[in-house]
Amino acid sequence: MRTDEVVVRETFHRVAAGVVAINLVVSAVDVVAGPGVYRPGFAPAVLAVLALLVVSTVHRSFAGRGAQEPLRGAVAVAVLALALHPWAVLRPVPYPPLLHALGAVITISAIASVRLSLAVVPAFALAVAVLRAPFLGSFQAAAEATLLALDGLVVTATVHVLARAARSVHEAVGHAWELAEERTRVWQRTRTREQWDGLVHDKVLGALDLASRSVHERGPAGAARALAAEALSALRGEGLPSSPAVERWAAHAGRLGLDARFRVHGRLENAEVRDAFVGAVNEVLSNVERHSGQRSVTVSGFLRAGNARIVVTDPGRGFDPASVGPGVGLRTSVAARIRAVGGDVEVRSGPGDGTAVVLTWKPLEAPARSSALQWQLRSFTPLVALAWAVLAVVLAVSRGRWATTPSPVAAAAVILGLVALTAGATALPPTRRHGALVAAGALVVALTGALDTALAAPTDWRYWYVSAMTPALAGVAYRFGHWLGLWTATALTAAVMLVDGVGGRPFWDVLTGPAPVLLAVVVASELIRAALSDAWTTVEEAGRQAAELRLALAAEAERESEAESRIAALEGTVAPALVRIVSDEPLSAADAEELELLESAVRDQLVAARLFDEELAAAVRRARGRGVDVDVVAAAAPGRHASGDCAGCRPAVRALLDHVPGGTRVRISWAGPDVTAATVTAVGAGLAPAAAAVRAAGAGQGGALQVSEDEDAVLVTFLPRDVSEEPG
Amino acid sequence: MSGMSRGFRVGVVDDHPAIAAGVPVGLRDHLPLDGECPVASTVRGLLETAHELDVVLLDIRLQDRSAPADNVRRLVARGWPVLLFTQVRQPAVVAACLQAGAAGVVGKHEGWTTLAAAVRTVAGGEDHVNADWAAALRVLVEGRAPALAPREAQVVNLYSTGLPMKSVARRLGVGEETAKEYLARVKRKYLEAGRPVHTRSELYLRALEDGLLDPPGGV
Repeated sequence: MRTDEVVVRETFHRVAAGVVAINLVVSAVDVVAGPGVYRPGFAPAVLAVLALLVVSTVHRSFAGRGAQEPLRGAVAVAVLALALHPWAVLRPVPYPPLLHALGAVITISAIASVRLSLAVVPAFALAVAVLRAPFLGSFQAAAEATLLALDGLVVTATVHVLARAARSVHEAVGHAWELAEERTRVWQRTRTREQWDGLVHDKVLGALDLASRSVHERGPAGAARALAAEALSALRGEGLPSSPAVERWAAHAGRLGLDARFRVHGRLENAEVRDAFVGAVNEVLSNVERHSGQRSVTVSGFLRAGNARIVVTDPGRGFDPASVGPGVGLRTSVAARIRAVGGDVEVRSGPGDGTAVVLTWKPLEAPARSSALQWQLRSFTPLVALAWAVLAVVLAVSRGRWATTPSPVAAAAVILGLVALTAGATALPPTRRHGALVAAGALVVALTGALDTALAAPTDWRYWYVSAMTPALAGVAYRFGHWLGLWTATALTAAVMLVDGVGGRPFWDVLTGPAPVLLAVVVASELIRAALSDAWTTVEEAGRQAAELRLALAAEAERESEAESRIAALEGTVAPALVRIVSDEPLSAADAEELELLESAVRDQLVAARLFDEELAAAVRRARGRGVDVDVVAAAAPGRHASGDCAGCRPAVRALLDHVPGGTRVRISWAGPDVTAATVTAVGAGLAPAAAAVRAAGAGQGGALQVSEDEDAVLVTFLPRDVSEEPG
Repeated sequence: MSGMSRGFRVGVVDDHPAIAAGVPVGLRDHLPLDGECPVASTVRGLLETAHELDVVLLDIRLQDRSAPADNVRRLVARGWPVLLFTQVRQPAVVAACLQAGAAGVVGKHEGWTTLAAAVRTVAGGEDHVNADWAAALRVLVEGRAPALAPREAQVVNLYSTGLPMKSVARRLGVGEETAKEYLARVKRKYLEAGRPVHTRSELYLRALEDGLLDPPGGV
């Protein structure tokens, strides 16, 4: 698979090959131009080997194979050739021709390996100092070597930062993808599960319906019995795909002689967590066998990669969790296992109330955002330190020279200005104002430096203040607005050219001196800044998406556990009736009526679980008992989502139900679960008292509750707060 | 229509054999039926066994986990009018089915009289228009809103609350026929005009996202 990281590395390899290739040509020209410097054959051999390695690097990079080996080989050859210089050089010269090529290889060594470059860059600088000291004097050679080392280390730091940014992007994007895939899987599971739940409900409703019809009308009682049996087994989780963990629990429960029911979805791939759950639940089952005083137990919940929750319930004698008792065993052996993998255990029980042990687990999430922030902050610190070091060295190199300037005071001011500029460029908050300030300062310092330097001074040190400004302008380009660094560098160069031209010097001198280096560094800083900024944007975006996905996953988990508890509640409500249907005893008319009411109540719960509390359910039941036809339906969501809760409409709905005469058709439309809006329609005759009762009950609801009536219908609309779009 | 000289030919697709078998028994008291009603637990089963039908009663949720709208499409493609017959009426799912060509929806708990009337209407080539039908239409109206006159939106919204058409018309200060015409116009806009292929899956996904597609009501 080609990743962003691989692409970045390949780009690095090609850049490295290009830089070395150019310097190989320069060295080759120098070797030809100054014959006799090396022992015969030495320079051509070194250049040929390096050229071969460059070709190999390019070839492997384009072939998609890593080019680390040829690059490392080139670094090794460069170090060896340098080490051989005392032996190989026959006629010492100020700058041995091979130094161009060897220096280039050493400079890009960070691309082969950051650690390797930390060793070879200072070594190279030291070797150059030794080679050049006889010609330059020891102070000058040491200063030059320090500059070389710092330049190399800047390249190393840059390569490191960019590689790290690429890795961060790769990781962040990968993480977001993983989450997205997990969410797709969860969606799939949720849909399967919803379908399964739906079938359970169909069976329950169908069984109740058929059973009551079998009494009232002609209908096969055997069919109702068969469907009730199916509904019971579906409610008890039979037919759900089971997991290996369930099989182990079932085996354990079998050994203990427990009558255990399992309703567990999913499976855990994480072996450690799975084993913890298997062991802990087995322990709970053993506890049930020892302490509950009966043999029935239910294990329900789900096991998933991102979330696990298992509830073990028994209807036994229970205990007071606060007191000493069976709780001790639970808290130690069970809790210890689950907490060891980062989960939690909760025990709910009371004397005579049975016991529920809830085991939950969630993986620890690494905060992607903060790790992304880290590289951004850390990346800048070494650059700042290096900028200061470069400035110090440049000032030191020029020490003997600025003393000879026309005005030492002005020269001192220039140095102070350089220090201030570097400090400002690296430390000031990157606002436009600060950027403009630093840019203007750079121009003033450059002009002062140009005017204060003797016109006759030799080109190679006349522009020392321009070289010394390089770190400051690199800082401006890296940290402040787009192109500010480049504009400043260009303007500054132009100003120096102007001073030279007016003073009578060839105005292009600065262009053959430090200006190209300055411009190149500034452009490089701009590019690095753009690359890091892009990387940062991508990482941030990926982090944001990951956060959203995590929220969505949590919401799915919440829904799943809600669905779980709904099924459990459904089982509690209808299981006795289903058992009654399955039994052979004939159903009476009263039974049938009871079954019908139960069926309607189950249907209501399905459609509007959050609307129905006990009081409302009782009111609906009373109304149906009086012959009111109550229909509860899921409604379309209104255009805007409300943050309010429709709980406030319950008293009004109850009032309506209690006051409508028998024969009225009442339809309750409920848009849930998160969207809260409800309409209640009553159709029939003699509805005026009901409308009045609703108004009285809804008096405290402000504008949320609207009642409108005509000859044969009352429409009650409930729209809390934010929902301004009315249905009608 | 064909139910005049002979009885109605009604097919039933329901994954609970008991319910499927009970439907013809219950219907026969309220409607002349032509011979035995073909009954199947999957759409494919009915397509293979039945020859000509006036109406298919289709349970929305089948054990084979097929997509409701796909089931509707396959039956409609055969030229059979489809009447949804379901335990729980979820507007979003019903909406997708209506777009696929279903002619209406009846709750399984509603009486035989209602079901029989709906079968007559659908066999006659009409939609069985009731509050649930309008509620499904409202899902579409809320989901994507092409030009819909305020009056048309009001009719859909009011009618979907369960108000009788007469009362809806009175509240809007128009005649009952006008109100019906508004409803028909909305139907044309959303169910017939521009029924792009991608809409149904889009709608399905959206419904999932919006939480409208909770378990049978996993509300």
